[in-house]
Amino acid sequence: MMTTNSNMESAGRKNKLWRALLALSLLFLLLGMISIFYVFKYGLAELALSNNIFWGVLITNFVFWIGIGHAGTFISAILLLLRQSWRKGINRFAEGMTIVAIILAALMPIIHLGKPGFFYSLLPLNNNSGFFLLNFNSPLNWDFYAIATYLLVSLLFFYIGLLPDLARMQRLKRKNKVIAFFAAGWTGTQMQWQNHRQTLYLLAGLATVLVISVHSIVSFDFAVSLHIGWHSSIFPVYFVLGALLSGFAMLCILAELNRRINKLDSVIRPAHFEHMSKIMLGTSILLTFVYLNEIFMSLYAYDTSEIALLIQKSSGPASLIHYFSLFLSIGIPQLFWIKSIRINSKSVIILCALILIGMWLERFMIIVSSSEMGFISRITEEYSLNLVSGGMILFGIGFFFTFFLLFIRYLPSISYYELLTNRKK
Amino acid sequence: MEAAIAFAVIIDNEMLMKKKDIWTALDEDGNKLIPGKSPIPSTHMRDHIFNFSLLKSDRRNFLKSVGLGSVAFSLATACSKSAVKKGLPFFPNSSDAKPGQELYYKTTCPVCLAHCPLSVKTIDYRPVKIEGNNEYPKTSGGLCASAHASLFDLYNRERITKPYKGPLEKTWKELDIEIRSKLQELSARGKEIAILSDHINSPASLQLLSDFKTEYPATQLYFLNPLFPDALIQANKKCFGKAVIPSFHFSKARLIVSFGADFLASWLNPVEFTQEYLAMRDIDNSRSLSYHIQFESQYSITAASADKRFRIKPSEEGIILRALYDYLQTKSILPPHKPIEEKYEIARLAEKLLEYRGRSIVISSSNDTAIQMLVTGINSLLDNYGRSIDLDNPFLKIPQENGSVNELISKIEKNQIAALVCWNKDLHSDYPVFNDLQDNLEAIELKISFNHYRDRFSEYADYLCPDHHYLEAWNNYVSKGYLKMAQASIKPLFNSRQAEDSLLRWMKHPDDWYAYLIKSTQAFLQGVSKGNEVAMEEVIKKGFWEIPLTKARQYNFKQYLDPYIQQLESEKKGSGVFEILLVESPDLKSYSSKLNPFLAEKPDPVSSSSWKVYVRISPKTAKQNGIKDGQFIRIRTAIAEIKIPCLVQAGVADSCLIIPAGKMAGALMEKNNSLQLFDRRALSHQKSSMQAEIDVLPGKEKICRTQSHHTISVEAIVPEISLREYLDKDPSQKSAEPLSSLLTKKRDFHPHHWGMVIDLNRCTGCGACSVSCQAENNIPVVGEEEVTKGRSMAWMKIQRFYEGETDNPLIRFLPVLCQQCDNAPCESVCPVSAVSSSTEGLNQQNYSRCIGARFCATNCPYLSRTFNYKNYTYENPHSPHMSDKTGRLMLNPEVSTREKGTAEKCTFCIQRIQKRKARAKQANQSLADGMIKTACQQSCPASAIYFGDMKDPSSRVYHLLQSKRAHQVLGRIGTRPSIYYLSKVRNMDMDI
Repeated sequence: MMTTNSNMESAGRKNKLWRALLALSLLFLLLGMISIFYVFKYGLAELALSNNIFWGVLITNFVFWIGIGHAGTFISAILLLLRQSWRKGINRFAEGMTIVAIILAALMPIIHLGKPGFFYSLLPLNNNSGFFLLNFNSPLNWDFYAIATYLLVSLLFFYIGLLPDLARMQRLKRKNKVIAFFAAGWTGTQMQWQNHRQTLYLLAGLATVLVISVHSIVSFDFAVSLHIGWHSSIFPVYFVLGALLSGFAMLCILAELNRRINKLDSVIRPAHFEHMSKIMLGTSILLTFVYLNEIFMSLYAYDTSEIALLIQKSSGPASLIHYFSLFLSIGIPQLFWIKSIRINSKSVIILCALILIGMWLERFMIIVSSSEMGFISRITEEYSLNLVSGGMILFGIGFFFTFFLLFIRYLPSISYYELLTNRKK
Repeated sequence: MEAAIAFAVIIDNEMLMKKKDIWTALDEDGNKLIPGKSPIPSTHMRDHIFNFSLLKSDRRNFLKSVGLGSVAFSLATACSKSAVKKGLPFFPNSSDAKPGQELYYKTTCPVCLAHCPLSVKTIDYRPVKIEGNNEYPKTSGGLCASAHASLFDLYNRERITKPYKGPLEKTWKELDIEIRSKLQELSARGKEIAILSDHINSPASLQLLSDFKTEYPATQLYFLNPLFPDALIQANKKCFGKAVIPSFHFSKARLIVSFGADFLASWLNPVEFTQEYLAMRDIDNSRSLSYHIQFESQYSITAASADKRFRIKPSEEGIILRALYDYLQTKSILPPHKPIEEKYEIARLAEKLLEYRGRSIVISSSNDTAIQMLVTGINSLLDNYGRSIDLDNPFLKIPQENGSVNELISKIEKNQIAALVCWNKDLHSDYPVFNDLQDNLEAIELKISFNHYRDRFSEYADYLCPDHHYLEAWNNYVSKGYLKMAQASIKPLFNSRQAEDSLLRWMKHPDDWYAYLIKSTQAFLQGVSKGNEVAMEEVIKKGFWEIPLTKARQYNFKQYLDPYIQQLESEKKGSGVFEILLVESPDLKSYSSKLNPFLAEKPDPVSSSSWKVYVRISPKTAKQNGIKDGQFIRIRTAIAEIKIPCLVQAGVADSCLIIPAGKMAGALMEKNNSLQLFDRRALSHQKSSMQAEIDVLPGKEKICRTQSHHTISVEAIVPEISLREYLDKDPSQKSAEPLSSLLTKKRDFHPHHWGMVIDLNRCTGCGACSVSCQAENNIPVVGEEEVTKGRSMAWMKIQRFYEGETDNPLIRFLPVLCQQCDNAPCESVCPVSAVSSSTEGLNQQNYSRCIGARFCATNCPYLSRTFNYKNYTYENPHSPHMSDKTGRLMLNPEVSTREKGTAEKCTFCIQRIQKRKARAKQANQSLADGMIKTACQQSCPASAIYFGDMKDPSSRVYHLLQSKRAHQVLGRIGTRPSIYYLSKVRNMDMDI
């Protein structure tokens, strides 16, 4: 009781760590905005794209950030359904993380459009050519609807979960009309609790499907294409596993941040890190299997182009980055076999940061390195990250942490009511 | 805005109607456009015309450019006192000249010595596209890239627009009076008047010059062309007493041995040579192939077509030719000249040559007289004169009285020249030696420049008398049994005047140039037609006239060659381990020495580099000297030193430095500041090669290239077969249907199913198609930086594949354009349905619907889609035809330009298809095969591209699809492309 209350009140107090981090995130966001301005003004050429490599850092970011969101949904939905009570300390900010990540991810392809002002063309709006002139064969359309659904469900889930805590907040700060509005007259009657619980479980069921489907659909962007290295049915599994790994890695970092900023030592405990580490370990093992499968399949199918890509990846100019990303994304998690590493939050977040870098590079390699390879011979210039591309990465980090930090400061970052019910048990 | 156009049109038409001696221009097929029957531009068409990009976002700019153009036309027409015939060509009856209606004018290309007949497409009175003249039997409408690109010079804003005296603007009249009095004065003093020009091949101009000489007897003519084949002419003069370049008939040669001559791309008459050469390689009809052996130091595109290629140093050429000559004479190779490793081949080669006596041809591009003498001797021993080589109907005759560069230089040094007329000659760029003579040049009393652009010479010239662009000018040319007429196809855009006209004025000749030309041509025609009346109008209408040929005689060679051979041996060509060789590059052959964006951006087919001049070295030499691709080296010769970046090129002879040369080289070299010390005269005038030392410099730059190594399974993409395999192959056996075609449904299209067949056995890889496509479809030129970054916008790309070792690989070319797949990967992935397939099997890209997601481009396995990453249309210094107000007159109004953020690709020239279809419908005809020609097909010098209806059993395409050489590229992935390639057949069986 004491801790929870003090946390909810800590929102008002000065917090040096929070301020420093927010300032840094805002700086990143600003730099990111400048790069976006550059791209809008001078065209996508600023991103070092070419008529050879059409997709670069922005699509990498898109895949990466949408993957981050998955851990949140996994925790709040699947673990809820599986009645894993340890999730209660971390589920709220995991859901918050999901929402910020989805919005961020959705921005990426829009910036990436040649004519970003026309992004609404993806909506089924009535125009002079007819109502539905969208091409539902296109995975980009599936993306659009998958992400929109995901965002909607995640928002609902988040909001419904937040209701009792909002009401609690309103009780603590009576004058805040905004909170009062969103608390929507929650009084905590038996009926309300019952409905609340049912709605949550229902949405959890929906969200469970989404955990699998959204990233599968994102992977279709690649799997459905004819491109060497993308044209593979293993991609949905590959992407979902990668999403979970990177999502949990990010969640560990956020958990530590939240624990430090809001002084939640009693809520976010080493056990959480241990659980999450175990999940990461598990996904990384599955991911290893997928990698091996990919190599096996290209040799088994005996497709010249796939084999050529394999050779290119393993011995080409970018092979070092490839090995490095593999080391980070599936080698590093193996350290989680050691218990002392798992339960130490510091070591966990260091490893998680490395995993995140690895996963980002992994996506980058999938998108760029495969593009450098083609059926028809291509242009020499290999894709390289430039300042503006770097700005896009900063934009992602800045946007994500700015909104996350604001969230953990001004909204209940942990699920008080669940923790309280937990206590009662 | 319509009013503005209408106004311009009305003025022009009114003026035109007053002229009676006008006949109707021709349509594409060469039919006359008859009033009433000519197709009326539909609303749709008019929309096209008025919708071209200038208008879309910037109405004001459009008005300005149309205004500039139309004011130039209309004012010039309305205000000029002279007769209309001076500027306007034969013009249609006014009722034919509808906005958007294209008219074709026959003229002749002056870019190189070949003088190919052209058909210039004009829309709204402005030339928008240059095409080959279909009626001319020797080229069948084929045209090289240089001619296509020469349109740029017409609309180049940097042209000198009016006459100048020093820095002052003057009227022509004022200039004429001053210049005439000066010339008279100088002539009275007996001082020399030097006229410097490119080689003049026009009988009328030559007659004019001789008239000029009569008026001013001290006139001396100098033909300056650093790449002119002097040695070839010298050899013929010495051996047969004929100062000519003979006609080479590759169509009569079963065995072709070329020493460095890139005759399919740059040597003498490449377009006609290509046609003739391919006549002997028509595998499907003749079931046999000529055998082509290429000895060379560079890797030329001619060698890519060859059956056998030997890599030799320039200095070895003489040794091999000597051995060959000896063997042909004595049946043995004399010991002192015995090349060790080549011995076996040379004996075999000589035996083969003897076997094909009279049906072979031996050529060399060397500019060393001794070597050309040997070649002449060999051809004579093989009885080729009178058969495959024709001295009696020469390709080019040299007038006796012109002086050489060395003479000119010594005269300038001695200040013996009083007047210097520079006629479309960028003196300083072509001959940097003149930079050292600047003081002497400035001291010349009268300096007149006819040049189109301001260059070094014009800085100190007294008078600038800008010449017309050739599309504004009249002329005639004679070569290889044809008289070719050049007629103007546009009223002069600026206040320029044809150089010949200026000379006439200074002679105080009563006629103007047009009258003079017509008279002269008529006299010429009467002379050669032996009194028969030749209708001048017919000649102009057709663009050329066949001069009755004299019978080619056999020439016997009675020259004692030993002194030349000794000269060859005794020659010390400087010191150093490296040999420099200057090769004429087809991509640097431009109309003026000004940078031509189309040509600059066109990748060299073999090295795929563009925008810069690189010295090519072999991989082995690079390795030995620690040179990386793009590294700067300093080349030191006895005469000069230059700094130049290297390009490591497979197949180049070791220890050779190959430097591409051409008119435009200066413009591209100046960019790397390497011109200053480069004395091309010393390199090319007498010798074709010289020795040098190199220093490897620390600097390195990224080579501007369009293609690199990342290629998978060439064999599957560009299969090649040997002649034996071809003949053994069962005719009924077709290339296997790809497995994946079982997985995808075959779609039915009606009433047509457009398709294309590209015969790789004919394709030489010259890349003229890609420039033609660029001009037709308003494709932007993006510049060096963008090309280096892989953002070249070309729709038609020539992919080059190497086969074998890096020492001497074989090359396979594959022209890649949108394959118009029936099961197109780009269509299914576009989120907004901007890509769709038409009922006739075309993939259509809707530019305004496209939002730029680039999934289509990513998913295209042929990489045939390009994306507008920047605003290439308006803010692009490299595309004057897009961003410059005058330059925009060159845009094809039938094709829209594309804005930033749009994906684009080849459309199979849908504007041509639609126009033809509409025309056929209006005329109530059915669409016959061959009526629609895409831009690439139209200009292909090799006639390797066929376009047509794959459903029509009578079409050529349908017929070719049945060939056992037909295959699709990447058919296995299930895209069902509409383009079929016929694989190349190489004559590997003769084995020398």
